[in-house]
Amino acid sequence: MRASRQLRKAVHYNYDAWRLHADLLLNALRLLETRQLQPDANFKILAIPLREDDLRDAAEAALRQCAHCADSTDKRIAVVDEANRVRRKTWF
Amino acid sequence: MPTLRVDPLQQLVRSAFQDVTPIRLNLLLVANCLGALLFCLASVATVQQHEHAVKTLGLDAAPSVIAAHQIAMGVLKMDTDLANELLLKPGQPEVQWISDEFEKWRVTVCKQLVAAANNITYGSSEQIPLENITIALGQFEMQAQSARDMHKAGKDAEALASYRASLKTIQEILLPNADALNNANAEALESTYLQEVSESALSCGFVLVIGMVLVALLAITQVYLTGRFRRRLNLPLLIATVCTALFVQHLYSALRENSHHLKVAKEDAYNSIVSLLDARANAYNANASESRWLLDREQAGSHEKAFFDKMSTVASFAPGHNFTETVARANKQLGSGEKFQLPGFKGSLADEFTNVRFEGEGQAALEALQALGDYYRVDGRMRELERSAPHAAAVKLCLGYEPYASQFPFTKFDDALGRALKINQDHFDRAVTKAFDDLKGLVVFSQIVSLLIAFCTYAGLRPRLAEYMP
Repeated sequence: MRASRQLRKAVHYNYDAWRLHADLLLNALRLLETRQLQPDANFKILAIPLREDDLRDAAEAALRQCAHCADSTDKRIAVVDEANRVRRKTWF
Repeated sequence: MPTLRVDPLQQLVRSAFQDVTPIRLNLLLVANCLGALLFCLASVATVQQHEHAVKTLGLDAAPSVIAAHQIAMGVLKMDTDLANELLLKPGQPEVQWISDEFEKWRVTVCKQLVAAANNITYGSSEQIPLENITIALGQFEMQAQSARDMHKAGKDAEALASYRASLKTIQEILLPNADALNNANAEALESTYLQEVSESALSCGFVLVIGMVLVALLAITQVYLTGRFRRRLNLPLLIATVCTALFVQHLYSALRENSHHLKVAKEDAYNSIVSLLDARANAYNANASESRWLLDREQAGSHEKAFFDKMSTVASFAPGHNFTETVARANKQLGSGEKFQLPGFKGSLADEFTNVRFEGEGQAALEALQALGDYYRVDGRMRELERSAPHAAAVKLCLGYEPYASQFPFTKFDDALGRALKINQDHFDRAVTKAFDDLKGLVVFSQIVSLLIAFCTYAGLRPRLAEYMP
């Protein structure tokens, strides 16, 4: 929660900030998947409700922002691949 | 430490083997577009090859083969009419009718010449025979007129000399050139058809394989996107896959249908048409030889030989077989609906019996055989009569249309052949039309579908590739 508050204070996110943002969401997601945390719509992390689909959407968005700030092609490809791995499964 | 210099092409090849998503996406895009292009080229080439075969058979060669036969038959009919006219006394009532028949056949020959000239496809191999026929036809008509004039003037020796000259024109120029015209087209038709038969299955199979490879490529792309992007379906790729599968199925079945219709046109109808036209032309020649035998007694031996030679090309029998036995056997087989099996029977009419395929064709062929047998028997009686009775009695039997006379069974034979020909010609025309219909629009359709595949692949992969853009 402290990290969340600190991040929200930042005005301009750079690669590292988005990476940290995404990592926070990914950690929360992992805790949900391993049932160390229970889904709770009232509990928010980085303004995102603690639910799998919301966390996936937010993590994907953060990773794509991260890709925009990537300073190399390899890094960008790796982050976009990660965003696609983490996104929730959709029909189209 | 020395730096390792890598060639750009090597770099590209190396990167193609690395599991890097945008490179894989680009590779899939290129592979699908190349697949679509290859499929387009293969299907267009195959459709055009089939179109060429149908055009050769239905429009270029077969009509000229038929025209060549019609020219030969027309010339032989004119010869028969001329000989018959000379056999009668000037002023006899039949003379005018025979003269009208001569004119009718002359018009037919001229029309067939124009039809053949309008359909020249194989250059000089058709043009030269047609020129020769046109030139010789005028010569023949002058000789025929001269024979008529001499006959009317009572100068029978001069009339016979002119007749012999006209016959020489027929035998040495008109018939050989009609044969040359026929052969030029028949050979082209046979070789194109043989090529089509041998390559058809291969080309259809090739199109099918390319189409299936393309469907597999599109499916692989779909699976790759599903796994890599957690999106179950890529709509443009799905559309491309379904369109490709449907079009490959349609194309393959259309090509198979086309091959079937081509087979019906060539093997079932055209082969019978050729057998029947051969039978008719040779029978006309035999009929003309019969009249010549009565007219030109000095050369009776050669005319008699010509009669039997021509008759044997229409129908001949091995020892122990004859018209009566063969007709009875054919009648029995036709009644029980069996396929004709007539041992010891040879000739162009026998060829027709082995290729009876359509309703009513067997009956017509059987009636032709029966009438030919009757004609053959009357011819025997006529020859006996010529040797034992006054010449006029033999002439009456040769030219008469009474049931006991020669022209009665010959006309029946000709009518039956005409019916069998019409049945085959109708089926031939129908099969050729269907064969063209099978291929209609396939070239354009192939191009549109290939473009659609390429576009859909691009539309499906472009948003995914865009994710990796800076």
